[in-house]
Amino acid sequence: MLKGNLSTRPFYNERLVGLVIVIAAIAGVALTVFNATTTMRLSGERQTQQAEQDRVDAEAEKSRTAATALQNSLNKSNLLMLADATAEANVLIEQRTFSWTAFFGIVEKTLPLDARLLSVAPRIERGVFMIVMSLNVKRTEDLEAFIDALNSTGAFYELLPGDMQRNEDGFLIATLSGGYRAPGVVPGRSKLAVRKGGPRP
Amino acid sequence: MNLLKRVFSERRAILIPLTLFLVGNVIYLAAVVWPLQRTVAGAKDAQYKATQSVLAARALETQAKADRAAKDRADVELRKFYTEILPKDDRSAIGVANFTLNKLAEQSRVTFKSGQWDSEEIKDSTLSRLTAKVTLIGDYASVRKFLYELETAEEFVILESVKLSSASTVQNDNLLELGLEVATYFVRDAKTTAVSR
Repeated sequence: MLKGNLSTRPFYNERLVGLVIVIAAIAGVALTVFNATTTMRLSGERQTQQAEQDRVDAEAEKSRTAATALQNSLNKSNLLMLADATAEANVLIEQRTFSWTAFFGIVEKTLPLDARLLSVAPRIERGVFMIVMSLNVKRTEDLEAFIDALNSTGAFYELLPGDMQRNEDGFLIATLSGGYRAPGVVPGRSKLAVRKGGPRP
Repeated sequence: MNLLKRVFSERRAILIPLTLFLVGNVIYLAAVVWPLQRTVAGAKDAQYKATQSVLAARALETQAKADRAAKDRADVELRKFYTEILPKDDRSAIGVANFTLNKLAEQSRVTFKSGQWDSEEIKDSTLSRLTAKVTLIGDYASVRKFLYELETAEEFVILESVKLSSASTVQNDNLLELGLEVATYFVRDAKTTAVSR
């Protein structure tokens, strides 16, 4: 017969305690599995990342080195010289593309009967042709008619009369200047792609 | 003795190892797993930045290659312009300005009346400029033909200005006097055609 003071050893649910211990043990094992798998997975990822990072860094460094080497190979003073020479050549080529045949073709169609062309000088300004013409006209109306006719062709723009001087024979010598779009020529297109022989109107 | 102490006392053999096991796992989680997770996440950011950096470096390299290619192309075209399009030297330029104009005048049936040549070095350039002031006489159709022949000639001649007037001194009133200012260019020193290298 068990003799004891039951008030000092009260009853408790041993099954519940056992269950809690089992659950804690399972949680511990699960945590261990989680720690182990996560560590392995992250370590693998880290290694892959490190390898990728090294590869990317090496590639970036290689590209930077190649770019620096290429840039260093382009001597800046030579580049400036080349740019100046190219710009100069392009201006010459554009001047060479001026078609006098096309120009006179337009003038023939638009020049009033009592007017005569005395001189023409085209020049390139900021990549566009500027024309200065000198004319011999009987009346100022002839000059106005000529300007209107030239403007209506679409080849000339911003035409302005300049100096005017009356001659001994009563004719006016007038200067006319303005922009000229050479028919069939796209400004800035020549760019060293010049062929021998200039324009073919 | 309260109940918990009693349970612990009675189950000490299991509870102590179990507690140590759990605490160890939590410490491992806090000290190893979470920092590693943070490192991996941080590495993803670093990798993104590195990818951006490599893209920028590639763009830089592509630009440098394009610059180099453009420079080489310009160099080749400029050399071609100097050696194949322009007269080779001052003698060729004089030949272009003199013989070519004479030949074209003859072909176009205009009379070569007079010509005056002058050459000058262009400042800050490898080129020299040879200019010619030429006076020709012919009827309008011949003058137009001459201008066409000149502008389509193989030789690099720039017709800078044209002056037209009646050739009153000549018997035929239909004849025009044509005053031309033409220019051609040549490289002063052939060695300088290699503009850059």
